Amino acid sequence: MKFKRLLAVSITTLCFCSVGCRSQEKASDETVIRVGVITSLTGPEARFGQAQKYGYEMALDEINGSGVLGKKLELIYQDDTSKPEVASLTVEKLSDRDDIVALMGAYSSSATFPAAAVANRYQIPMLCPSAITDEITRQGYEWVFRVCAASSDYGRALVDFLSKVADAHRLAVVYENTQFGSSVARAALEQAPRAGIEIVAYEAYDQGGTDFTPLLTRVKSEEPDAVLFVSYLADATLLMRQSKEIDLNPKVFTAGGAGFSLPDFLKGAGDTAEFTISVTQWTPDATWTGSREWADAFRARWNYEPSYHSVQAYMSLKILADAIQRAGSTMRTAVRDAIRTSSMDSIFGPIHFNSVGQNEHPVAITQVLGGKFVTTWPPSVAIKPPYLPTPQWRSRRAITDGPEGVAAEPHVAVSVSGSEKLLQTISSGLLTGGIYALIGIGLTIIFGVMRVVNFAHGALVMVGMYATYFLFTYSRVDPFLSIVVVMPVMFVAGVIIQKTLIAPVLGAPELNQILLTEGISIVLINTALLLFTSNYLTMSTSYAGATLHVGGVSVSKPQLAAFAIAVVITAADYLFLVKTRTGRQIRATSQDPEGARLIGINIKRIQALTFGFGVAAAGAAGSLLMPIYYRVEPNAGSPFTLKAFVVVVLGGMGSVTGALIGGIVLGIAESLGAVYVATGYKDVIGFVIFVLVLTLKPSGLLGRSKV
Amino acid sequence: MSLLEVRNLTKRFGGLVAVDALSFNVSAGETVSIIGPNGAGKTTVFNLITGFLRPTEGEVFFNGVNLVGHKPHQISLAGVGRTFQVVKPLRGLSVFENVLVGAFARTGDRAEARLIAGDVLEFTELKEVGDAQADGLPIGLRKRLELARSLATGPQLILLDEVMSGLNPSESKQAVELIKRLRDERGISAVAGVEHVMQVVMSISDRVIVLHHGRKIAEGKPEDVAGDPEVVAAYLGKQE
Amino acid sequence: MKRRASIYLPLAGLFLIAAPAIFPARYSQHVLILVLLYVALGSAWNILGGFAGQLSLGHSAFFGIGAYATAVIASKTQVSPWWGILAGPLIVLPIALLVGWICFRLRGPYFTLATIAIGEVVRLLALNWSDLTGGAVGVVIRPSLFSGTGKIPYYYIVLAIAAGTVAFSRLISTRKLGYYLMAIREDEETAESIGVNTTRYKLLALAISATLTAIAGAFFANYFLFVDPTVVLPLALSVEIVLMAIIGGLGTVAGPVLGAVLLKLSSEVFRNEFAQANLLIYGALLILVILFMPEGLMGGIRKLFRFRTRKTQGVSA
Repeated sequence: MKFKRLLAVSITTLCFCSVGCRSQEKASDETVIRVGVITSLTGPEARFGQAQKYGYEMALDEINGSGVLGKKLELIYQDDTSKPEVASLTVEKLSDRDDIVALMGAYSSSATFPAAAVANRYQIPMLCPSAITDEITRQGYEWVFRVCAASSDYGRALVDFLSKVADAHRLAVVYENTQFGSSVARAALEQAPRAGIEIVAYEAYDQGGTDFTPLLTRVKSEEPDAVLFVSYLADATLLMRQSKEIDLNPKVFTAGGAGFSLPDFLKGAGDTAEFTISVTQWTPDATWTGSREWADAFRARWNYEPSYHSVQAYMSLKILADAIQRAGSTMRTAVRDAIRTSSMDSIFGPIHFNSVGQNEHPVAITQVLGGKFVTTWPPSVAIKPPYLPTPQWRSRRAITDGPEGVAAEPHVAVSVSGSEKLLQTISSGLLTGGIYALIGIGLTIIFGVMRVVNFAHGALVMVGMYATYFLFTYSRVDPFLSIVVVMPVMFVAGVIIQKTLIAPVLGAPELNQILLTEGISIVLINTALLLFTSNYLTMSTSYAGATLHVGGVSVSKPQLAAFAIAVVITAADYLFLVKTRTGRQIRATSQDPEGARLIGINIKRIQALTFGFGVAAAGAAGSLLMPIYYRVEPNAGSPFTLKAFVVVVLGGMGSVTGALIGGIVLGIAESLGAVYVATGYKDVIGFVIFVLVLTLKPSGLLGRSKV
Repeated sequence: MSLLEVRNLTKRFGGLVAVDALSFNVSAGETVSIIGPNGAGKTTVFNLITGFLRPTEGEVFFNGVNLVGHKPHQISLAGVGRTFQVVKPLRGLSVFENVLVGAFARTGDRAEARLIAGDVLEFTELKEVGDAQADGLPIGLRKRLELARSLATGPQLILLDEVMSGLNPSESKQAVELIKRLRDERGISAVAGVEHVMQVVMSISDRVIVLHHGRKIAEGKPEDVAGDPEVVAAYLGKQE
Repeated sequence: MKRRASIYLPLAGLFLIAAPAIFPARYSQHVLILVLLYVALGSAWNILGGFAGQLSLGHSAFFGIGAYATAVIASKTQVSPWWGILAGPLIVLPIALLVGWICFRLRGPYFTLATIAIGEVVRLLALNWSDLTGGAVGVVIRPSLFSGTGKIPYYYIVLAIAAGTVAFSRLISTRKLGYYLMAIREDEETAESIGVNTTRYKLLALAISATLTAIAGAFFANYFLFVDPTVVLPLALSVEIVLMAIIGGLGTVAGPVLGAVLLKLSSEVFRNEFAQANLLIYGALLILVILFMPEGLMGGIRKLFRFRTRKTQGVSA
């Protein structure tokens, strides 16, 4: 058999070589100058890649209006799929092509950092438009230039602002545990002592969080007078909404840009965005010459509100074009030297690179006032002074058209008692657990009847979320009511998926089944990406943020409603399985497929129905998530797949009541872990419980071991 | 000294007594049948002896060593082979490879193991289907493969669980022939579990033990046992 | 067939040795290196997953630990990070045995889920234990031994690792160990009944598989010169490794090799040709392959040959 394999190796490699060689041949074309652009067109960061692409395209049109050295620029886009190793791969590829003069990119810090190392190694100029991690310019690279300000600039600006303007001295830092998040958080941590600021909490969380109330409870109990959030968009929205729900009232909410400085944040966070302070690199109201006109042109062209990511991309290409023009050559060395001596005034402020390749770009501080980002600091660029201290959540109701109507009130420190903290922790864990349970139920009945571990479960939750979003946005169907539509539709979809895709592999090895469902997941997520783009679609119900205060404990009303509905659906499922004929057949099939077949149960029908029910439950969970999660994007369901596995194992595979208990146990365990251990280890706790239960009591917490 | 000595072997599942204070001996070169209707506890006895189940009480001595508490593979390596009532071929492997795996119990050397496997295939008359995949075999051959695989490990004693079930008359005859040759040509002792009182089996057995509800109700030469009124009653009570 | 293989094997060896000269472009060489890396990973996984039938979805943990061992050597000591190729497996070995001790109590999907959990726990630890691992920031490794620019030394190192792993896997498959693992895969009770110490052999398979995976991880760190949890410890990596073995053909020596070559090259071609839709097409193809070639490419090829052998031999019944 070996020769076959080797034959295949050689043939495929030859094919791929010819693909590689084809791109090499273009080098002889003399009428254009090619620039490699690395950005995220797919994966979780695709939305930012899109923002960058808008910027690049604007710059390209302008540049090609006049030409560079009498030639036109051509952009060669490379998708890094939001993965660092792919970003490096693209640099390997692009730097190898002699016809490519320089590189732009990537988007995220994680992708840009290793990619920059490769660019420097192969000596091709690379302009980093938006990756802010300090590490990039600490490596002594000669070929890498950063157009945006770095995370240490963020830290410095924030700390100055907090000490000089906001008069805050107890800072809680909450950051997503990524290259970007940790570098900004660390900058704040390093700068804080200089200004006499004490860091009272320093909490990392895993990106794409589903519930921040435990984390915020922990923060609240430290009684900070300032909070710093460093997050991308999805988490930014939820952090603000849940800060309101648990009534976290520092003097000032600050943020490290990114998610907090995007127009979508205003939409997604709604009124909770108001008064939030953020570092920013650029705003559409920036006073630099041409900036506002550019913003208008951008809106006109893309029908989209510009963010600094677009400007940075735009400027990076402009800087390159300028450098090539000045260098009078497309030689990489000449271009690099020309970039180093760049000097211009731009819509992004003055451009000038220092000795480590850092453009000395000043950062500004904005505040959301009247639903808009307004530059409030430093005074030299401020449009308005900042509004401080931030009003308490309870006294904000009066504010509709900006803060002018509210008198500044002295900040009152609120202390949290130990028992309140514990109760808050348990109650948020319980509520989240309800949703986990509902997601777990779908998985558990599918497993029970078909022994298939469904890796597409999270993606199906995502489908439910989109359905709910569209029903709400276009037909004004309340998300809770939308379950009535979503569940039957998802049920039918589930039956179809089972009949066409799952049924054929039921006899196959279990790994084939797992990978098949993984394939379904990839297809669902990427179909959503193509249909709806990776932009977050955000929605806000009239009762968003409504909170019940019981003693010192705050309970989100939508979350409470979602919990109640999840429990009702669970109970209904249980009754269905116990009381109805079909339900009993499902249970019989789950316990003994052979026996069920012998007594005349149509197994194929039961399997299809069960998959339908499982998918419908996933869809219902998606519906219930929308009013508390507020936003959806193609990867929104992904974190739930693993959670559902944990829930199902805790409860015992195949057990509906077990899933309910399992969900609640996981919810509370995570919540306790986040508050009393460390937010970063919350998921470790979940997994450790998972492994312990699997090994010590594989039938689940409740289950009897099988005979 | 007996090759196998079972003393007071008892297994309870909850309240159910599957095997009740069973004692018997097997000498070297002896073929013993354990007969009894379905549910009499034969398979449980085999599982207890080979370590797949742990007895509630009692001991199993093999060559004077107590097997209780040892793992199945240790018991196999000690020289006690077994087959399964519901045949369990290594499905993805060929017939030859199935037997080869058994042979590796005796040697780590590939060439030597292949020789052993080849010899066993010859002995069990499976040579022609050596290259066929195990899960494609008809039931008669699969039963024989069970025996061949176990035989390859070089046992002194083989426990044959329901060797005859599911076989047609000509296959049964072949199986009986094989068991006979096991003793006559290789000197291997066997304990055969048999559901029905089959003359063919009785004829090759040196001794017969009758199990009923986990208890031994009779033991002796085949012709004596066949006439035992209690045995007849047990069978008549169970079978139409 | 055997005679033909003896002609093709040296030819293929020659081709692999000459490949850097045939493909002088750095990018082509980079892709070749990645392909060979995945050949090693797929073959290493296959020893546990394919031969012994223990379907681990946690191999990213072993890869990541190998890579991090290298990174920590680079950041905390003065010695060459290439020692990671030795240190990685040494650290992984006891961890693998512990993992085995925990997970081998479980069968089927339970085992698979437990390995997922182990992989995730290792990832979260790497993410949060920032004093040692640099957390989310990761570790930049300075090139040592080679400048980091020329691909050729890396190519031959990874070729050696891949060829070694495949050769080892081939060796195992024809020996007692291989047959014992396959017996365990087919039926653990049967295996026990013919003297196979299933626990010990499963642990052995895991230890070998994890060690080889860690070596590949250590190489990756030395080649990529950057390590962070999203690069070396994602669940997606475990899934990708398994995909190669499945698509190629589970439990065969050649399967993971074929799978790695095909999957790595096609994902590269898709990324270049289909822009935003590249993952969609990848997912759809995955579904099709699993539906229509459940035994992978090797299964398909074998069916062709079995058809021929059937005819000549026949099956006596």
